[in-house]
Amino acid sequence: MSTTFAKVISRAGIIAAGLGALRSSVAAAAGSRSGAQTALLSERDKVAHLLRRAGFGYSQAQLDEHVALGLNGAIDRLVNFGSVNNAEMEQRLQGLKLNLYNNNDLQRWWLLRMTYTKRPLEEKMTLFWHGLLVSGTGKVGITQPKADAAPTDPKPVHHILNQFSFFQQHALADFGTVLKGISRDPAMVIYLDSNANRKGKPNENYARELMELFTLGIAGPDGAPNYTEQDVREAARAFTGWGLNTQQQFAFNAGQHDTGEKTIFGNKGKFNGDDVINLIMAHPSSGYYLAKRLWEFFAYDSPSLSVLSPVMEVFRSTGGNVKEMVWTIFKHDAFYSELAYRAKAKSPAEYLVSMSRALELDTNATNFQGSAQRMGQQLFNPPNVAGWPGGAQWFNTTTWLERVNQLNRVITIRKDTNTQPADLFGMVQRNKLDAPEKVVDHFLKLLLDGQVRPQQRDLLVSYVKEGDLWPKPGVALKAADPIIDRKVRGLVYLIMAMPEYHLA
Amino acid sequence: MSMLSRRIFIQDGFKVVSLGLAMPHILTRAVQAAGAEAGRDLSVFQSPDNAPNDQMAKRTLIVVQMAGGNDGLNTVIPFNDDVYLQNRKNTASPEDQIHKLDDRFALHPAMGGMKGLWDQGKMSIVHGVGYPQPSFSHFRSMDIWQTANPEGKADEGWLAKLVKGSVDRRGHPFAGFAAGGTLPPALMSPDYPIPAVSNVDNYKILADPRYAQDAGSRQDALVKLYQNYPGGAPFAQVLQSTEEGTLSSIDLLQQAHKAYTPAVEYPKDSFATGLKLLAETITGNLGVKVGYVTIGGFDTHSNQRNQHQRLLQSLSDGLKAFWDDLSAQGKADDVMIMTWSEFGRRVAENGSNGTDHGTATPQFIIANNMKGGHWGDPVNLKDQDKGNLKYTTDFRSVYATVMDGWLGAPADKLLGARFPTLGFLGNGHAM
Repeated sequence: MSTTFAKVISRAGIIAAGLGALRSSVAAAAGSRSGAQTALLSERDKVAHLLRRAGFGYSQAQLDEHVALGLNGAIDRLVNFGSVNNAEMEQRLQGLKLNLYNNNDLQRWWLLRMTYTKRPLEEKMTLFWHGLLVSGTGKVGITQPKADAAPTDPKPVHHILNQFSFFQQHALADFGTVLKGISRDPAMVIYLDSNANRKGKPNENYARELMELFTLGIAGPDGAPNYTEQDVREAARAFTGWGLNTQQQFAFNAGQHDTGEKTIFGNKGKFNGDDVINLIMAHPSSGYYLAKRLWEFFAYDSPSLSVLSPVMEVFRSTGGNVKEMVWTIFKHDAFYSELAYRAKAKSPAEYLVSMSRALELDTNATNFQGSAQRMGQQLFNPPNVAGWPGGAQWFNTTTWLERVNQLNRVITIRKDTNTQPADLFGMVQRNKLDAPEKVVDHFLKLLLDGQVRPQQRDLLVSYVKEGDLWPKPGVALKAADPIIDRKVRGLVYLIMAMPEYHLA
Repeated sequence: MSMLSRRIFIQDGFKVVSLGLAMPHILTRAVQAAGAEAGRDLSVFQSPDNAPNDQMAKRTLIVVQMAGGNDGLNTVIPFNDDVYLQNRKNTASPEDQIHKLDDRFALHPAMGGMKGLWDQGKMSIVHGVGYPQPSFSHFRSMDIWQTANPEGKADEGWLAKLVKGSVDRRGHPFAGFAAGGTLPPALMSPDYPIPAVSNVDNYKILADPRYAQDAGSRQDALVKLYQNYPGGAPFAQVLQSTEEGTLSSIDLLQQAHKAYTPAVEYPKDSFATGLKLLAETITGNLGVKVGYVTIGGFDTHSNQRNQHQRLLQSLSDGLKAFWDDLSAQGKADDVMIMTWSEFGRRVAENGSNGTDHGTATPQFIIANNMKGGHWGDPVNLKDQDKGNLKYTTDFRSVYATVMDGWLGAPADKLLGARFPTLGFLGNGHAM
């Protein structure tokens, strides 16, 4: 557990109700959906849904490009991101000369990656790992370069950035590999006190969270406990001696390792940390846990065992191949079902980035990280070791206000050195939107798949028509016309502020 | 693998034979699930309850969460206890610095402010608070405390349940109020929006600066778009009630903010800033029944001494400033503070000059006209369960005492069972 615990610890996570309560709430959510929330029918809508979940949304052009590949082609492109050239994004980022030792710049840098990457699943999986195998700058810190350092001097070790790189390089690696790596990751070693875990003086922080939050959960799918308090204490012994050397790199200190026999999950042996991970990988709940965490990250909460079973089967048959598991999720019918559609609350990063992508913003994201924080998400520093609770907990009066207010800031930019204004006039022109209804329908389709109630569409049309600002037939539209500068801007604000746009 | 076999639920080539489902996120799920069709009574979000005719209706409960699991033994220190002294060689405070309350207990050296309240009879200590079959998980234990349910099973937080039905039948936007940008699960409800506020200056809705004349119609359209979002659609309740709760609370909060001048200087940290915001809502008569603020960082696994010192200083100085401010503004008689933490720490230190997750821990209650002193049986350090303290007071007894005796709410009904109340409210209060 982090000693920072900087914000409210608020994970509704283990608030468990009986099976009956779950079923009724899920059934209610599914059964009462009106016609506007029907299952995804068109290929275009499936691809749009996929891009929201596997990535961070899309511009019109990005959507068109993936729709042209077909759903299966789009999945292939997303999952096999290694073959996608991302040089343009890297150049853009280098051009900004951000100081990644600065906490704000570091967060901006990641938001910009999410915004401009051509490999969205790479960033999305990095965010998944960051929210599952949590470490945070609040406790780990960022050691600053010396003020008088020459440019050629070696920079201080940047633990949290190195952890980010580890997650990125292992975005779709085997789970066991990821776990063995993260157990040696200096940011994690500091965050969960492995450094202080010594022979005869075990510190059980890492061992406990490894089981409870990273790999197993307190109880398995049948409600039986996955491990005992004794298992935690014994696993802590197995990890003794896993620490850092004076260069702040991982080092195994044999003198501090407890070589004695341990009993873990009923198995006896002179286990070390890697043995603990092997035992966890063989534990019947680890495949369930990872499958469920991935499913809840990409699809929807509280999946049934039958929905999860193909993903769990992949875990079992491949020994925890995450790439295959993710692939299986994206190919799963339930991923495109009514239960999945708009069933995820956008995280602040997703809300900001999907907005930036849809508006084709040319931005350096100055102050975007501050906005994300006010919405409840400080990248590189989750609130506690359980990560961001997500779901409905993204929404409260303060975070909702920040969402609509940041939207207002972005959409009303007319001149700004950090962010070029969204070219709404160009979008209207390119798409030949020559009547209020056409403008409304275009943006509803782009931003919300056109899936809203007729009453909502009517409200938006009335809003655009109010004041009768549309030019008379034969009169050309201009960017400065109030219908564009005021009403189309207001329309896009309204759509992006609607409940539907806060959902992915 | 024999020990595991009982949990194996997969047979015959992955055929699932157990339908048991672990159910995390139920609160989240309940919040986002359907049910809005029942219809929302908008009249409940109107004006604050400015003229209650009954003493209890004017009262506020301030709940302070000490997140991370506070080391109770180094907070309320049994300084003469041999078992304590043997087990806490590296984390105990020097005896000449602790604030002795009597010949048995002392407060941590950083808690001079709270010692002052104790001396005035305005503070009670409830000892050994916990619950049966303690969980050593922060998250499960917090869920248990936040739902007042021994298994953490609930679809709303205990304080949300308290304010929405029992102490605020008329309802208004500020029955509950969380200082800070996050709404704690204790105040979460699927259909009852409770404001969470971190910075009042940002607590307003921005318009397009170029077209002030369009602001009204744009916001009007926004409200109607939310009203027309289908009631059974995903997240409908939480999004609609959040939008409504926000728009109905902005003006009132801004007014209270303008009218407030603190009577004392508060410390600069975020905990004190949250307390100051709570003082603002109380002096502004916004009708807050339950205010909530969190101080985090109590998960002191290593090098505990400095961290714990800093936290308890922040706690004690913040609460002292808050109490002095409320007293100067003539509001302290109507306010009670209750602290809580999800668990204490193991009796013995670990090898890193810190402490690992444990069990029972004390709670502080602060109020004027209360019967200060020790309540509940102190823990017996000689009678441990695998290195952990055995709890002596069920946390729901403390909840029942404040619900019943301070706010006049039906504790039995809210808790689903009868828990004996404690005597700290004395004779001057209905018990």
